[in-house]
Amino acid sequence: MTSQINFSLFLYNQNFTNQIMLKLNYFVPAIALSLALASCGGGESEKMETTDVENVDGEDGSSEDDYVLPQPISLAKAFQSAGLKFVAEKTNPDANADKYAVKVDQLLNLGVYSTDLAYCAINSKTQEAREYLVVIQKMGSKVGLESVFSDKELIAKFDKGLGDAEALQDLIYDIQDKSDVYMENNDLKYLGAIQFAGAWIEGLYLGVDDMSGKSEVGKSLVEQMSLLKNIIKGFRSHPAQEDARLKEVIKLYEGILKTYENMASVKKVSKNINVETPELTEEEYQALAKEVKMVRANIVKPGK
Amino acid sequence: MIKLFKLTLPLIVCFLWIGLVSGGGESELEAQMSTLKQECKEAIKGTRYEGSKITYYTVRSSKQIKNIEVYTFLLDEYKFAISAKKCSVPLSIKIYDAAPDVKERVLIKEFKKTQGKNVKFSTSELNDLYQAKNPDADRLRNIHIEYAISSGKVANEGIVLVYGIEP
Repeated sequence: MTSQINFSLFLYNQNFTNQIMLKLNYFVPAIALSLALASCGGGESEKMETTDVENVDGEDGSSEDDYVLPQPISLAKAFQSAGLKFVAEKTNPDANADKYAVKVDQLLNLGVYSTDLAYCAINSKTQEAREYLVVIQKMGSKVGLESVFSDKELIAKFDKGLGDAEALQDLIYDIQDKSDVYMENNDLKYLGAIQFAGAWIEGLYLGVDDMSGKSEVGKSLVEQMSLLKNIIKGFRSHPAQEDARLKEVIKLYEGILKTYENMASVKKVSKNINVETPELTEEEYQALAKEVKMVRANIVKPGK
Repeated sequence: MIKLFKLTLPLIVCFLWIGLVSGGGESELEAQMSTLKQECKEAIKGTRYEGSKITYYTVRSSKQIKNIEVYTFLLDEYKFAISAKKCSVPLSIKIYDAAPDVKERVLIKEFKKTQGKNVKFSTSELNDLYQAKNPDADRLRNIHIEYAISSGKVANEGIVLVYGIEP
Protein backbone atom coordinates (compact mmCIF):
# COMPACT_ATOMS: atom_id res chain seq x y z
CA MET A 1 0.00 0.00 0.00
CA THR A 2 2.75 2.35 1.06
CA SER A 3 4.78 1.50 -2.02
CA GLN A 4 1.73 2.17 -4.19
CA ILE A 5 1.29 5.57 -2.60
CA ASN A 6 5.00 6.30 -3.02
CA PHE A 7 4.82 5.19 -6.64
CA SER A 8 1.75 7.40 -7.20
CA LEU A 9 3.54 10.31 -5.59
CA PHE A 10 6.57 9.60 -7.76
CA LEU A 11 4.39 9.57 -10.88
CA TYR A 12 2.66 12.75 -9.74
CA ASN A 13 5.98 14.47 -9.07
CA GLN A 14 7.40 13.28 -12.36
CA ASN A 15 4.31 14.52 -14.17
CA PHE A 16 4.42 17.84 -12.32
CA THR A 17 8.10 18.35 -13.15
CA ASN A 18 7.44 17.57 -16.81
CA GLN A 19 4.61 20.07 -16.87
CA ILE A 20 6.84 22.74 -15.32
CA MET A 21 9.58 21.90 -17.83
CA LEU A 22 7.08 22.13 -20.66
CA LYS A 23 5.78 25.47 -19.42
CA LEU A 24 9.28 26.85 -18.97
CA ASN A 25 10.25 25.65 -22.45
CA TYR A 26 7.64 28.05 -23.82
CA PHE A 27 7.82 30.64 -21.07
CA VAL A 28 11.54 31.48 -21.17
CA PRO A 29 11.71 32.06 -24.93
CA ALA A 30 8.46 34.03 -24.64
CA ILE A 31 10.11 36.36 -22.11
CA ALA A 32 13.16 36.65 -24.35
CA LEU A 33 10.93 37.42 -27.34
CA SER A 34 9.06 40.06 -25.34
CA LEU A 35 12.34 41.66 -24.30
CA ALA A 36 13.55 41.64 -27.89
CA LEU A 37 10.31 43.18 -29.18
CA ALA A 38 10.35 45.78 -26.42
CA SER A 39 13.85 46.85 -27.36
CA CYS A 40 12.77 47.01 -31.03
CA GLY A 41 9.77 49.28 -30.66
CA GLY A 42 9.71 50.94 -27.26
CA GLY A 43 12.37 53.49 -27.91
CA GLU A 44 10.76 54.69 -31.10
CA SER A 45 7.36 55.29 -29.57
CA GLU A 46 9.01 57.15 -26.72
CA LYS A 47 10.85 59.30 -29.25
CA MET A 48 7.62 60.04 -31.10
CA GLU A 49 5.97 61.16 -27.85
CA THR A 50 8.66 63.69 -27.12
CA THR A 51 8.49 65.28 -30.57
CA ASP A 52 4.76 65.23 -31.26
CA VAL A 53 2.67 67.43 -29.08
CA GLU A 54 -0.83 66.90 -30.39
CA ASN A 55 -2.40 64.20 -32.46
CA VAL A 56 -5.53 64.91 -34.46
CA ASP A 57 -6.92 62.47 -36.94
CA GLY A 58 -7.65 63.95 -40.32
CA GLU A 59 -9.78 62.73 -43.20
CA ASP A 60 -6.93 61.48 -45.32
CA GLY A 61 -4.50 60.40 -42.64
CA SER A 62 -3.38 62.23 -39.54
CA SER A 63 -2.20 65.70 -38.57
CA GLU A 64 0.14 66.69 -35.75
CA ASP A 65 1.01 70.15 -34.48
CA ASP A 66 4.38 71.16 -33.14
CA TYR A 67 6.29 74.40 -32.63
CA VAL A 68 9.73 75.93 -32.13
CA LEU A 69 10.08 78.58 -29.44
CA PRO A 70 12.39 81.54 -30.11
CA GLN A 71 15.49 82.41 -28.10
CA PRO A 72 15.04 84.66 -25.04
CA ILE A 73 17.49 87.16 -26.54
CA SER A 74 15.25 87.45 -29.64
CA LEU A 75 12.30 88.36 -27.42
CA ALA A 76 14.40 90.98 -25.62
CA LYS A 77 15.56 92.35 -28.98
CA ALA A 78 11.97 92.57 -30.22
CA PHE A 79 11.16 94.76 -27.21
CA GLN A 80 14.28 96.83 -27.75
CA SER A 81 13.34 97.41 -31.40
CA ALA A 82 9.95 98.58 -30.16
CA GLY A 83 11.70 101.18 -27.99
CA LEU A 84 11.92 99.54 -24.56
CA LYS A 85 14.26 101.48 -22.27
CA PHE A 86 16.71 99.80 -19.87
CA VAL A 87 15.78 99.95 -16.18
CA ALA A 88 18.43 98.27 -14.03
CA GLU A 89 16.31 97.64 -10.95
CA LYS A 90 13.77 95.56 -12.83
CA THR A 91 15.94 92.47 -13.34
CA ASN A 92 16.02 89.61 -10.83
CA PRO A 93 18.95 90.19 -8.40
CA ASP A 94 21.72 87.61 -8.92
CA ALA A 95 21.84 87.09 -5.13
CA ASN A 96 18.52 85.22 -5.40
CA ALA A 97 20.08 82.45 -7.50
CA ASP A 98 21.10 80.30 -4.52
CA LYS A 99 17.67 80.52 -2.93
CA TYR A 100 15.69 78.39 -5.38
CA ALA A 101 15.51 74.90 -3.94
CA VAL A 102 12.81 73.33 -6.13
CA LYS A 103 13.84 72.04 -9.57
CA VAL A 104 10.94 73.72 -11.39
CA ASP A 105 11.86 77.08 -9.85
CA GLN A 106 15.52 76.57 -10.72
CA LEU A 107 14.54 75.96 -14.35
CA LEU A 108 12.12 78.87 -14.49
CA ASN A 109 14.70 81.21 -12.98
CA LEU A 110 17.37 79.96 -15.35
CA GLY A 111 15.01 81.33 -18.00
CA VAL A 112 14.44 84.55 -16.05
CA TYR A 113 18.20 85.11 -15.80
CA SER A 114 18.65 84.26 -19.51
CA THR A 115 16.36 87.16 -20.37
CA ASP A 116 18.12 89.41 -17.84
CA LEU A 117 21.47 88.52 -19.42
CA ALA A 118 20.12 89.30 -22.89
CA TYR A 119 18.44 92.51 -21.67
CA CYS A 120 21.74 93.76 -20.21
CA ALA A 121 23.84 92.63 -23.19
CA ILE A 122 21.68 94.29 -25.86
CA ASN A 123 21.65 97.48 -23.81
CA SER A 124 25.48 97.41 -23.55
CA LYS A 125 25.42 96.87 -19.76
CA THR A 126 28.33 94.49 -20.03
CA GLN A 127 29.31 94.31 -16.35
CA GLU A 128 25.75 93.40 -15.35
CA ALA A 129 25.58 90.94 -18.25
CA ARG A 130 28.80 89.29 -17.03
CA GLU A 131 27.29 88.84 -13.56
CA TYR A 132 24.21 87.22 -15.07
CA LEU A 133 26.36 84.90 -17.16
CA VAL A 134 28.05 83.67 -13.96
CA VAL A 135 24.60 83.14 -12.39
CA ILE A 136 23.39 81.24 -15.46
CA GLN A 137 26.43 78.96 -15.32
CA LYS A 138 25.64 78.20 -11.70
CA MET A 139 21.91 77.65 -12.31
CA GLY A 140 22.55 75.61 -15.45
CA SER A 141 24.76 73.22 -13.49
CA LYS A 142 22.07 72.85 -10.83
CA VAL A 143 19.41 71.75 -13.32
CA GLY A 144 21.59 69.14 -15.01
CA LEU A 145 22.99 71.16 -17.89
CA GLU A 146 26.50 71.40 -16.47
CA SER A 147 28.14 70.14 -19.65
CA VAL A 148 26.76 73.21 -21.45
CA PHE A 149 27.35 75.78 -18.75
CA SER A 150 30.43 74.49 -16.95
CA ASP A 151 32.65 75.58 -19.85
CA LYS A 152 35.25 77.77 -18.13
CA GLU A 153 36.06 79.30 -21.49
CA LEU A 154 32.64 80.99 -21.53
CA ILE A 155 33.65 83.79 -19.19
CA ALA A 156 36.97 84.17 -21.03
CA LYS A 157 35.08 84.46 -24.34
CA PHE A 158 32.70 86.92 -22.74
CA ASP A 159 35.55 89.06 -21.42
CA LYS A 160 37.13 89.02 -24.85
CA GLY A 161 33.93 90.45 -26.31
CA LEU A 162 33.44 93.09 -23.62
CA GLY A 163 32.59 96.40 -25.21
CA ASP A 164 31.47 94.71 -28.41
CA ALA A 165 27.69 94.29 -28.14
CA GLU A 166 27.52 92.23 -31.34
CA ALA A 167 30.16 89.77 -30.10
CA LEU A 168 28.26 89.37 -26.83
CA GLN A 169 25.05 88.65 -28.70
CA ASP A 170 26.88 86.08 -30.83
CA LEU A 171 28.05 84.40 -27.64
CA ILE A 172 24.56 84.33 -26.12
CA TYR A 173 23.07 82.79 -29.29
CA ASP A 174 25.94 80.30 -29.26
CA ILE A 175 25.19 79.26 -25.67
CA GLN A 176 21.54 78.69 -26.60
CA ASP A 177 22.60 76.58 -29.57
CA LYS A 178 24.80 74.36 -27.37
CA SER A 179 22.05 74.12 -24.78
CA ASP A 180 19.51 73.03 -27.45
CA VAL A 181 21.88 70.39 -28.85
CA TYR A 182 22.53 68.98 -25.39
CA MET A 183 18.85 68.82 -24.48
CA GLU A 184 17.93 67.22 -27.79
CA ASN A 185 20.66 64.60 -27.59
CA ASN A 186 19.65 63.69 -24.07
CA ASP A 187 15.86 63.78 -24.48
CA LEU A 188 15.63 66.79 -22.15
CA LYS A 189 13.65 69.14 -24.39
CA TYR A 190 11.02 69.51 -21.69
CA LEU A 191 13.62 71.29 -19.52
CA GLY A 192 14.03 73.87 -22.28
CA ALA A 193 10.26 74.39 -22.37
CA ILE A 194 10.18 75.32 -18.68
CA GLN A 195 13.28 77.47 -18.98
CA PHE A 196 11.61 79.32 -21.84
CA ALA A 197 8.47 79.92 -19.76
CA GLY A 198 10.65 81.77 -17.21
CA ALA A 199 12.39 83.74 -19.96
CA TRP A 200 9.05 84.74 -21.50
CA ILE A 201 7.48 86.01 -18.26
CA GLU A 202 10.63 88.02 -17.47
CA GLY A 203 10.51 89.61 -20.93
CA LEU A 204 6.88 90.62 -20.48
CA TYR A 205 7.64 91.93 -17.00
CA LEU A 206 10.49 94.10 -18.30
CA GLY A 207 8.19 95.53 -20.95
CA VAL A 208 4.96 95.76 -19.03
CA ASP A 209 5.51 99.15 -17.34
CA ASP A 210 6.79 100.74 -20.52
CA MET A 211 3.62 100.21 -22.45
CA SER A 212 0.53 102.21 -22.93
CA GLY A 213 -2.57 101.62 -24.99
CA LYS A 214 -0.99 102.02 -28.40
CA SER A 215 2.77 102.06 -27.77
CA GLU A 216 5.08 99.95 -29.93
CA VAL A 217 6.27 98.08 -26.82
CA GLY A 218 2.65 97.32 -26.04
CA LYS A 219 2.11 95.94 -29.55
CA SER A 220 5.25 93.82 -29.25
CA LEU A 221 3.98 92.47 -25.93
CA VAL A 222 0.65 91.52 -27.46
CA GLU A 223 2.48 89.76 -30.33
CA GLN A 224 4.45 87.76 -27.78
CA MET A 225 1.21 86.65 -26.14
CA SER A 226 0.88 84.31 -29.14
CA LEU A 227 3.62 82.18 -27.54
CA LEU A 228 1.60 81.43 -24.44
CA LYS A 229 -0.43 78.48 -25.78
CA ASN A 230 2.76 76.73 -26.84
CA ILE A 231 4.43 77.55 -23.51
CA ILE A 232 1.57 75.75 -21.76
CA LYS A 233 1.97 72.80 -24.17
CA GLY A 234 5.66 72.81 -23.20
CA PHE A 235 4.75 72.55 -19.52
CA ARG A 236 2.49 69.63 -20.38
CA SER A 237 5.40 67.81 -22.03
CA HIS A 238 7.23 67.57 -18.69
CA PRO A 239 7.17 63.98 -17.39
CA ALA A 240 6.50 65.00 -13.77
CA GLN A 241 2.91 66.15 -14.28
CA GLU A 242 2.05 65.26 -10.68
CA ASP A 243 4.67 67.63 -9.28
CA ALA A 244 2.81 70.06 -7.02
CA ARG A 245 4.89 73.10 -7.96
CA LEU A 246 4.61 72.37 -11.68
CA LYS A 247 0.82 72.10 -11.36
CA GLU A 248 0.75 75.43 -9.53
CA VAL A 249 2.88 77.14 -12.18
CA ILE A 250 0.77 75.75 -15.04
CA LYS A 251 -2.32 77.22 -13.36
CA LEU A 252 -0.61 80.62 -13.15
CA TYR A 253 0.20 80.63 -16.88
CA GLU A 254 -3.27 79.38 -17.75
CA GLY A 255 -4.61 82.28 -15.68
CA ILE A 256 -2.77 84.78 -17.89
CA LEU A 257 -4.11 83.05 -21.01
CA LYS A 258 -7.65 83.08 -19.68
CA THR A 259 -7.46 86.78 -18.76
CA TYR A 260 -6.05 87.60 -22.19
CA GLU A 261 -8.45 85.49 -24.24
CA ASN A 262 -11.46 86.89 -22.42
CA MET A 263 -10.59 90.47 -23.38
CA ALA A 264 -13.09 92.01 -25.81
CA SER A 265 -10.27 93.42 -27.99
CA VAL A 266 -8.78 89.94 -28.35
CA LYS A 267 -12.08 88.19 -29.02
CA LYS A 268 -13.03 90.49 -31.86
CA VAL A 269 -9.91 89.91 -34.01
CA SER A 270 -8.73 86.95 -36.09
CA LYS A 271 -6.54 84.29 -34.49
CA ASN A 272 -4.00 85.07 -37.20
CA ILE A 273 -1.49 87.60 -35.77
CA ASN A 274 -0.17 88.26 -39.29
CA VAL A 275 -3.52 89.70 -40.28
CA GLU A 276 -4.36 91.62 -37.13
CA THR A 277 -2.81 92.09 -33.69
CA PRO A 278 -5.32 92.92 -30.95
CA GLU A 279 -5.20 96.54 -29.81
CA LEU A 280 -5.87 96.43 -26.08
CA THR A 281 -7.66 99.23 -24.25
CA GLU A 282 -5.87 100.84 -21.29
CA GLU A 283 -8.07 98.90 -18.92
CA GLU A 284 -7.22 95.62 -20.63
CA TYR A 285 -3.50 96.46 -20.59
CA GLN A 286 -3.67 97.11 -16.88
CA ALA A 287 -5.44 93.81 -16.25
CA LEU A 288 -2.80 91.95 -18.27
CA ALA A 289 0.04 93.86 -16.57
CA LYS A 290 -1.36 92.98 -13.15
CA GLU A 291 -1.49 89.29 -14.06
CA VAL A 292 2.04 89.31 -15.52
CA LYS A 293 3.48 91.01 -12.43
CA MET A 294 1.73 88.59 -10.12
CA VAL A 295 3.05 85.51 -11.95
CA ARG A 296 6.57 86.92 -12.29
CA ALA A 297 6.63 87.78 -8.55
CA ASN A 298 5.59 84.21 -7.75
CA ILE A 299 8.39 82.79 -9.91
CA VAL A 300 11.29 84.96 -8.74
CA LYS A 301 10.30 84.85 -5.06
CA PRO A 302 13.17 83.07 -3.30
CA GLY A 303 12.85 80.31 -0.73
CA LYS A 304 9.98 78.29 -2.17
CA MET B 1 16.46 22.19 -14.68
CA ILE B 2 20.09 22.67 -15.79
CA LYS B 3 19.24 20.84 -19.01
CA LEU B 4 16.32 23.18 -19.52
CA PHE B 5 18.55 26.26 -19.24
CA LYS B 6 21.16 24.68 -21.48
CA LEU B 7 18.46 24.30 -24.10
CA THR B 8 16.92 27.74 -23.76
CA LEU B 9 20.02 29.85 -23.10
CA PRO B 10 21.06 30.07 -26.77
CA LEU B 11 17.51 31.14 -27.60
CA ILE B 12 17.58 33.87 -24.94
CA VAL B 13 20.95 35.15 -26.15
CA CYS B 14 19.72 35.03 -29.74
CA PHE B 15 16.56 37.05 -29.03
CA LEU B 16 18.37 39.59 -26.89
CA TRP B 17 20.95 40.03 -29.65
CA ILE B 18 18.19 40.60 -32.23
CA GLY B 19 16.67 43.14 -29.86
CA LEU B 20 19.91 45.01 -29.42
CA VAL B 21 20.61 45.07 -33.14
CA SER B 22 17.07 46.26 -33.99
CA GLY B 23 17.14 48.93 -31.25
CA GLY B 24 20.31 50.25 -32.84
CA GLY B 25 18.23 51.34 -35.85
CA GLU B 26 16.75 54.14 -33.82
CA SER B 27 20.08 55.50 -32.64
CA GLU B 28 21.34 55.18 -36.21
CA LEU B 29 18.43 57.36 -37.39
CA GLU B 30 19.16 59.87 -34.64
CA ALA B 31 22.80 59.99 -35.69
CA GLN B 32 21.77 60.58 -39.31
CA MET B 33 19.41 63.36 -38.23
CA SER B 34 22.19 64.94 -36.22
CA THR B 35 24.43 64.94 -39.32
CA LEU B 36 21.64 66.49 -41.41
CA LYS B 37 21.09 69.12 -38.74
CA GLN B 38 24.74 70.06 -39.02
CA GLU B 39 24.32 70.22 -42.81
CA CYS B 40 21.37 72.59 -42.37
CA LYS B 41 23.43 74.79 -40.05
CA GLU B 42 26.11 74.96 -42.71
CA ALA B 43 23.49 75.92 -45.30
CA ILE B 44 22.55 79.02 -43.29
CA LYS B 45 26.07 79.75 -42.05
CA GLY B 46 26.56 83.31 -40.88
CA THR B 47 23.21 83.47 -39.11
CA ARG B 48 22.66 83.35 -35.36
CA TYR B 49 21.03 80.08 -34.31
CA GLU B 50 17.38 80.65 -33.40
CA GLY B 51 15.93 77.16 -33.31
CA SER B 52 15.54 73.71 -34.78
CA LYS B 53 13.14 70.81 -34.89
CA ILE B 54 13.68 67.21 -35.88
CA THR B 55 10.36 65.65 -36.85
CA TYR B 56 10.41 61.86 -36.60
CA TYR B 57 7.68 59.85 -38.27
CA THR B 58 6.88 56.37 -39.51
CA VAL B 59 5.88 56.08 -43.16
CA ARG B 60 2.58 54.22 -43.32
CA SER B 61 -0.24 53.28 -45.66
CA SER B 62 -1.96 56.68 -45.38
CA LYS B 63 -0.81 60.25 -45.95
CA GLN B 64 0.20 62.24 -42.87
CA ILE B 65 0.58 65.93 -42.10
CA LYS B 66 3.03 67.52 -39.65
CA ASN B 67 2.71 71.21 -38.74
CA ILE B 68 5.40 73.32 -37.11
CA GLU B 69 4.80 76.85 -35.87
CA VAL B 70 7.84 79.11 -36.02
CA TYR B 71 8.05 82.68 -34.68
CA THR B 72 9.64 85.54 -36.61
CA PHE B 73 9.15 88.52 -34.29
CA LEU B 74 12.29 90.41 -35.28
CA LEU B 75 12.54 92.69 -38.29
CA ASP B 76 15.85 91.01 -39.16
CA GLU B 77 16.15 88.41 -41.90
CA TYR B 78 15.40 84.83 -40.81
CA LYS B 79 16.94 82.05 -42.89
CA PHE B 80 15.55 78.52 -42.91
CA ALA B 81 17.06 75.22 -44.02
CA ILE B 82 15.08 71.99 -44.19
CA SER B 83 16.64 68.64 -44.92
CA ALA B 84 14.39 65.90 -46.30
CA LYS B 85 17.31 63.68 -47.27
CA LYS B 86 16.09 60.98 -44.94
CA CYS B 87 12.58 61.08 -46.42
CA SER B 88 11.87 58.31 -48.95
CA VAL B 89 8.28 59.10 -49.95
CA PRO B 90 6.89 62.10 -51.86
CA LEU B 91 7.01 65.12 -49.58
CA SER B 92 5.66 68.60 -50.13
CA ILE B 93 6.51 71.48 -47.82
CA LYS B 94 3.95 74.25 -47.56
CA ILE B 95 4.34 77.53 -45.69
CA TYR B 96 1.21 79.21 -44.36
CA ASP B 97 0.50 82.41 -42.43
CA ALA B 98 -1.72 80.68 -39.85
CA ALA B 99 -2.50 77.41 -38.13
CA PRO B 100 -4.58 74.67 -39.84
CA ASP B 101 -7.69 75.59 -37.82
CA VAL B 102 -7.79 79.08 -39.38
CA LYS B 103 -10.02 78.60 -42.43
CA GLU B 104 -8.87 81.67 -44.38
CA ARG B 105 -5.15 81.02 -43.95
CA VAL B 106 -2.89 81.90 -46.87
CA LEU B 107 -0.48 79.53 -48.56
CA ILE B 108 2.68 81.62 -48.96
CA LYS B 109 5.05 79.18 -50.62
CA GLU B 110 5.18 75.51 -51.57
CA PHE B 111 8.09 73.19 -52.31
CA LYS B 112 7.01 70.03 -54.14
CA LYS B 113 8.76 66.65 -54.30
CA THR B 114 11.40 67.59 -51.75
CA GLN B 115 12.12 64.03 -50.58
CA GLY B 116 15.85 63.32 -50.61
CA LYS B 117 16.67 67.03 -50.92
CA ASN B 118 17.52 70.11 -48.87
CA VAL B 119 15.53 73.33 -49.25
CA LYS B 120 16.25 76.89 -48.17
CA PHE B 121 14.14 80.03 -47.85
CA SER B 122 14.11 83.31 -45.97
CA THR B 123 11.65 85.78 -44.48
CA SER B 124 12.42 88.46 -47.08
CA GLU B 125 11.11 86.27 -49.91
CA LEU B 126 8.22 85.04 -47.75
CA ASN B 127 7.28 88.62 -46.81
CA ASP B 128 7.33 89.67 -50.48
CA LEU B 129 5.13 86.75 -51.49
CA TYR B 130 2.81 87.37 -48.55
CA GLN B 131 2.39 91.05 -49.27
CA ALA B 132 1.61 90.22 -52.90
CA LYS B 133 -1.22 87.96 -51.71
CA ASN B 134 -2.28 90.11 -48.77
CA PRO B 135 -1.51 93.82 -49.46
CA ASP B 136 -2.75 94.90 -45.99
CA ALA B 137 -0.08 92.86 -44.20
CA ASP B 138 3.26 94.46 -43.36
CA ARG B 139 5.32 91.37 -42.44
CA LEU B 140 5.08 87.88 -40.98
CA ARG B 141 5.27 87.46 -37.18
CA ASN B 142 5.05 83.70 -37.39
CA ILE B 143 4.81 81.03 -40.04
CA HIS B 144 3.33 77.55 -40.11
CA ILE B 145 5.40 74.97 -41.94
CA GLU B 146 3.48 71.93 -43.12
CA TYR B 147 5.07 68.65 -44.14
CA ALA B 148 2.70 66.58 -46.29
CA ILE B 149 4.20 63.10 -46.14
CA SER B 150 2.82 60.60 -48.65
CA SER B 151 2.04 56.98 -47.91
CA GLY B 152 4.58 54.27 -48.60
CA LYS B 153 6.42 51.26 -47.32
CA VAL B 154 6.74 51.29 -43.51
CA ALA B 155 9.98 52.97 -42.44
CA ASN B 156 11.18 55.22 -39.62
CA GLU B 157 12.37 58.54 -41.01
CA GLY B 158 12.82 62.20 -40.10
CA ILE B 159 12.90 65.76 -41.42
CA VAL B 160 15.20 68.44 -40.02
CA LEU B 161 14.43 72.14 -39.75
CA VAL B 162 17.04 74.69 -38.64
CA TYR B 163 16.71 78.45 -38.75
CA GLY B 164 18.77 81.44 -37.81
CA ILE B 165 18.79 85.24 -37.90
CA GLU B 166 21.08 87.44 -39.98
CA PRO B 167 23.11 89.58 -37.55
